Amino acid sequence: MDKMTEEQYRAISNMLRKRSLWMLHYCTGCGAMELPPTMTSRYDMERFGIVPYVTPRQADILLVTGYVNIKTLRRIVTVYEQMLDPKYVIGFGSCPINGGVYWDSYSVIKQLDKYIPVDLYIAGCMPRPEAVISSFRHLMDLIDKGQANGYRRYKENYEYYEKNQRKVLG
Amino acid sequence: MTGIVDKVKQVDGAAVTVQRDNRIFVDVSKDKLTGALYSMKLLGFNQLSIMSAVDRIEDGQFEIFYVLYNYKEKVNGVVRTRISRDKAEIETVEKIYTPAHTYERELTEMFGIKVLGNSDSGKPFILENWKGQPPMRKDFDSVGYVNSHYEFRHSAEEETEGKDE
Amino acid sequence: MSKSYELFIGPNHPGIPGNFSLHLELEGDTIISAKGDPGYLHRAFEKGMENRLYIQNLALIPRICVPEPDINEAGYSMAIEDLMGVEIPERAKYIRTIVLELARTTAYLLWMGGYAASLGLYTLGQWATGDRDYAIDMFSELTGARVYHMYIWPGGVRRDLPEGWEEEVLGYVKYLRDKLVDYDNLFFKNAMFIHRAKGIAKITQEQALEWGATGPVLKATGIAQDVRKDDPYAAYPYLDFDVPTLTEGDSWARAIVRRFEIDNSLSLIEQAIKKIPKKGPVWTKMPNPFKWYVPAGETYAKVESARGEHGFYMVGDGTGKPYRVSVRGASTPHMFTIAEKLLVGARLADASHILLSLDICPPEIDR
Repeated sequence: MDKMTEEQYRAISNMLRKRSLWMLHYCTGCGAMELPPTMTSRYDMERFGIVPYVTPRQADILLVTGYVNIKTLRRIVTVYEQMLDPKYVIGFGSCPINGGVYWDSYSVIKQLDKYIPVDLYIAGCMPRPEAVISSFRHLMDLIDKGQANGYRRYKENYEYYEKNQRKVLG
Repeated sequence: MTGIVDKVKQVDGAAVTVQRDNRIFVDVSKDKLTGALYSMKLLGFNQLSIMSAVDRIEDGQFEIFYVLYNYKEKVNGVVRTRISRDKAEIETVEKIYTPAHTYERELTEMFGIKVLGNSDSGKPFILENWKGQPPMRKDFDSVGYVNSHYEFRHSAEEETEGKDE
Repeated sequence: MSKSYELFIGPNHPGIPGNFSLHLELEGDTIISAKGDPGYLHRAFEKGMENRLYIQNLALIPRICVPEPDINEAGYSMAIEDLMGVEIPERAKYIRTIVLELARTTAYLLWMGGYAASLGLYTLGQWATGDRDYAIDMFSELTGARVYHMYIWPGGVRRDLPEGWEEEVLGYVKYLRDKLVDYDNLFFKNAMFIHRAKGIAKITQEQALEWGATGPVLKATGIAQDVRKDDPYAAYPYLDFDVPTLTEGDSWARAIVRRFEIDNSLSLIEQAIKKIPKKGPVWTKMPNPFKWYVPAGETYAKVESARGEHGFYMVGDGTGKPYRVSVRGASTPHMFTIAEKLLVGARLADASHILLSLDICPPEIDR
């Protein structure tokens, strides 16, 4: 134990982390419609150790399901900052990527990753439950390799994110 | 159906058009609106399905419409009135139709039409920290607002081009 | 010293149906005032639709209500057909009916899971959501999409039924009928559910009418008002069904009415498949979609959604884009007029149960 290097420690903790991911139960948009099938008997994401959880303090994954409007963005930022490290963000569907069909809507933001760091995007409207599960598997791989480090980027580039948040939230 | 149309025609100041089966449009002037809605309720139009406005910008007016439903006669009646765009004010009808309270809040927020007598009119409802022009007015430029407030994602090609420079 | 305290429930809360927030004031665990706070899902549909062609709006419209998107397509198409004076073919009417009823079934199954979970029974959610998924499979086969189908469009439907689809749907109807017996034994006949839901959030007939209730909330107070009967659209005039009503007007009655509505939907699907014309067009020839010049005029088209009357007030001005479309979701009066009143005096533990018993759909409120 004494001789364990930081790298080894990190590798082991990453391996353990990826096996038990708790997803915050927050339906931010219409993508939440594909979550009940993903959670329940047919697709059953609990197989992979992912369960929905109710409070941000105990959750690991923030799933931003679909379009983010200004009013929701404020809550998403709050919720994201309440979550404890390590935390991961998945952008779900086309709308967080580039606004999707709401490109000309005055209340929907166009790129989620300007406001909070996003580890992974799932494209499609809506992504099928298979795509959701495959993205979770992909996130596990990223965690294992130590590449899902959005929460570190958020700390390092806090001024950048804060500037963007202030610009739209006022 | 014809019976109820005749009755609606008796409403004070009402110009009635039958659009098709079960759809009656009733145009009244602004000062007779509350009376007309009250008479409609007495005729059995007891459900307010929706109320909102249409921005008739070329006439300089707002058209307020109230979609009512008479479940005994199975007829929808739409009461419409026009108000000036410069002095956009209407009286509340929440005493006649309770659900109007919510729709009137939305009306104030989206069109900037003041609703007199509605205690919540003007309080933020759907939008948060909204400044400037009410968004549902026709002269509100949605795309212009988007371009000045948000940034679009550039494609990968554009980004590499930017880096080369 | 004031004894009351404030409590915010949502938008991040599993007991809230979607992204929506409730501002409660409580004394002990009794609610003394409740205010809904909408707007988390506001996407400016009505503004966006004014800036797009009628055909482009077809992609926007199903997103107004996520659990049951087809009603939006049907209502929007009916409004355009009404303004343009288009009659849809017989076969298309039946196909619309089948699709709408199948969508209604999925909406109720999803609601069932949430409603049972609000009382602490999670098993039904697992079953119902799983069974709902088989209906979603039918939709994927028919339309190519699981959630947003964009199948019903002005003039009829987008394409004909694939071969053997009717038999699959009949098989699903039979399967679900058998499963519903289990649902009844597990939940609807369960003494715990009956004790918990009876007498909760009771409204009388007069109140329901005054507060603008529609759909199952109104039917649970004894008024048989249903758009499918009163202002028939699609193939409903050719089909035989009764509007289920109960007189209690409480949470239990609303749940049971919805349970009967599933039976109704399944029977309607069977009748429609039996009566559907075997051959024929499914789409009235319309002009080039980029040149749908809808004549000037106003209309109000309404359909019966799983939650009540869903309406579209459309104003055309002779151009290719709508001048104004106003969407009436059944949830707006259910939330802001009814739930805010019903929550007063209720216990905190019943708050999410009351919201789910009214089947509030936040995207419909915010639009």
